[in-house]
Amino acid sequence: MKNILIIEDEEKIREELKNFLENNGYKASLITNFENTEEEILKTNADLILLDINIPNQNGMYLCKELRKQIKTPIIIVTSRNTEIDELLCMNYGADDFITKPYNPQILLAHIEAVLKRFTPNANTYITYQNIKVIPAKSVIKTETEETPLSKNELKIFTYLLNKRGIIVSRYELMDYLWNSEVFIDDNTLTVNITRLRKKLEDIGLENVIETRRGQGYIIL
Amino acid sequence: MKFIDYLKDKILPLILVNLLVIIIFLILFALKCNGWIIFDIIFLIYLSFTISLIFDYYKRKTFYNKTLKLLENIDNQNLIHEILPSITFIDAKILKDILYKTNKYKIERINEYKYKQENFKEYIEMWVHEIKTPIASAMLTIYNNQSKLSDDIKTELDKIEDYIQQVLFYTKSETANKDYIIKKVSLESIVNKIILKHKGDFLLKKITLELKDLNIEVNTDTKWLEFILDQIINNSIKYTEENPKIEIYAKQNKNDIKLIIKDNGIGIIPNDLPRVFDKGFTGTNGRKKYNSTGIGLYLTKKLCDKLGHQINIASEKGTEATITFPLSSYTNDLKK
Repeated sequence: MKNILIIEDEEKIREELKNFLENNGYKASLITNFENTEEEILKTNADLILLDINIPNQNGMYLCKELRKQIKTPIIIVTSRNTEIDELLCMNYGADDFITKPYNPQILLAHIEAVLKRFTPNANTYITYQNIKVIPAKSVIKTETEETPLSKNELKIFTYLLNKRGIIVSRYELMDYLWNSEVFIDDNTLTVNITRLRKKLEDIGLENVIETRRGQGYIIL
Repeated sequence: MKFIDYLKDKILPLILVNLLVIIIFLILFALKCNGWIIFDIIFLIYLSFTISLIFDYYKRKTFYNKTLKLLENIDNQNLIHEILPSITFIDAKILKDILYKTNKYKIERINEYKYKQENFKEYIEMWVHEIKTPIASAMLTIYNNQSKLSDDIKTELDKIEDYIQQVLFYTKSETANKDYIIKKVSLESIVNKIILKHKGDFLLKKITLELKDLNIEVNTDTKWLEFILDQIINNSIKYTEENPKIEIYAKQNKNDIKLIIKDNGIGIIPNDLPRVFDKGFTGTNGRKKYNSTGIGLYLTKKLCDKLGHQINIASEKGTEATITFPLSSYTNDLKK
């Protein structure tokens, strides 16, 4: 489980953010004492740092620059100032991403996911299902003998359903997820994509992988 | 300055000189002077008076005509007292002093207001950033406690956020400061960001979205263009009809790039069309059904102007907004 370090001086936000990240499959660490922020950060072994730029006692941008000199951990800067200048400055100080308050929490998640993905070389990660492997980096389904390429949408749908194996996923949830990854498809396109995906699975001998639960959604068992 | 006006102004000396002439004539007549002598004396009096009058008239005429001409030709008319033509009579000197003093006073007052406005703008910007923290906090609380109630509150929070954003851009558009950075940005990334922001509406209202040819770069300020697009897309979402559809695509021409946002909504009636960018104009649609403030499109136009983009809105069936990014404008600006 990836550990995300939250640097935020507003207690309420800090706690809610921690809850939110934990509800979404991350481990979250906090810093509550901002006397020696830099040391505190270096002590924590985080996979990603969410850094609010308006922290007490110190200039957040400067802190980011200092951290960058010592560690390679990805840093996402959170700020309520959203001018182009601020964004450029953050990037110059070595931040990997920039998100403005108030953020839609799901978009924050998407940013975190994207940054983490960039930092974990994942050519070898795959999801197994029965006798096949899904390799996201190559966008293929691999059986013992052959590789079937998947389109971007098909891959996204299949991996999402696989990650929620055993749980019904509603069409709305699926669309919501796809939209969050900037795939703006409508209802009909989703149906077409699901049909194509099923067809591809049938071609490699997997029948009825994605089951339809009428009025509820899809499920992979 | 007309000579006749000048004479009217000199009515008292004219009367006096005539009176003087009559009195001298009467005295000399009573003394039984020679008629020629009387004529010569009166002639000399009139001659010297006329010469001094004409000389004085030309001095003033040249001064004021030159001044008026200068006034027409300078940009900052406030500074006229700095370049007055050479002063040859006392009133001109007084005029110059008065202009100098009133001008100084005016400039001081203007600076005072400038300073106050700048202060106010800074305060608004600070306030906008401050208010975002409690909103962010409320947003997270809602996501951690999802229910029907939280969905409703979220919708309202989104609206609050939009209004706050409007305040920020309103102050930006009203002040002379240039706080934007023009650089090359991909239209796709900006469009995607705004679409994502309206995800909820798109999915709920089942709006078909068609994006085409957006993989193109334009010169703009990301944050400003995001705000501009947000206003337009917001309207498209607000005024939908049956089978709603929004198309967004870019067109590369020889001299410019056009970004077109087209919807099949209720459209704008022809009478309203020329006024959509007016401040506070809500139009028939805005009044009928929705609580429109008439600020969104006004700001859109203003920000576009500042960035050097053009914006046009046409409406037949549905509405079509076009933002034009001239390709050469910035290089031209640099040359200037």
